[in-house]
Amino acid sequence: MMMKTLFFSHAKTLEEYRRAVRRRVGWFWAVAVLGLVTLCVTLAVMGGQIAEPADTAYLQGVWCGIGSGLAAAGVIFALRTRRLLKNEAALREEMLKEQDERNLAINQKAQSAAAAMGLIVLYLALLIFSFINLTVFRTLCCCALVFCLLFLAAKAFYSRKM
Amino acid sequence: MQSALDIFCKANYTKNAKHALHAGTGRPPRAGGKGWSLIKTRIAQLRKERRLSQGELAEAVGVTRQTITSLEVGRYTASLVLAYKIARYFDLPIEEVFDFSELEE
Repeated sequence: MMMKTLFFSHAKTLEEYRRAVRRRVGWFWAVAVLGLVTLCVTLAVMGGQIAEPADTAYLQGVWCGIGSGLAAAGVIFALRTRRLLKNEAALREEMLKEQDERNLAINQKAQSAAAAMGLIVLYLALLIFSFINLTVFRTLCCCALVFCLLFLAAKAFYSRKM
Repeated sequence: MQSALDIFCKANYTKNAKHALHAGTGRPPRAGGKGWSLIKTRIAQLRKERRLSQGELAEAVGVTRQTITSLEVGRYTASLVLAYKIARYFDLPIEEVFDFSELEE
């Protein structure tokens, strides 16, 4: 669902939607390549010692996981989307599901609810980490600031657009 | 013969509430409460008169079957575009398919 939100298409006809889906396949392959590059860079750079041995092993594990996850997701989504292109009925159904106004409203409501709850969690984390670790506190402050700036920028953008 | 559900709905709730019960929501939404649309519709009635399934209507107006269900039970309010498409499909003016009387009160 998150992927569909990212690659949403305003196509009006099935042919336009087919072209959009074809472009989407390309993006999924790009995600797979990004995952592979992440994996290769992690193995090449972190093969040497860049931090404490335990931290290096931990970071290597995390980035290997992210890289292989991205690569696998990219390949799976690309193949699934390509298969969709060969089946006209399935493609039509997918277009209907993707552009259904109730589904779009559900997505928007879910996103704003997640953002609101995320802010509450962020506030609680700020409160807790102000007593525990100042570096984490500052990092979370930056996250909150970036979120607020992005919100204001998006609001200004859509105020002009709508 | 009237079923217990019919009597229950007639006594306490509107037609929309009956559909909510059928849709498996467990309990019907309270009128004016959370999840209750202010705009009631005659979609279910018109659809049944024309012997149309929800899927057929959904396909004709370009939405999913679930959207038609939600409109019929009053959980979702259609956009102006969708309302226009549905009204045009039934060949009726919008106000004969959607009841705006509660908005005017």
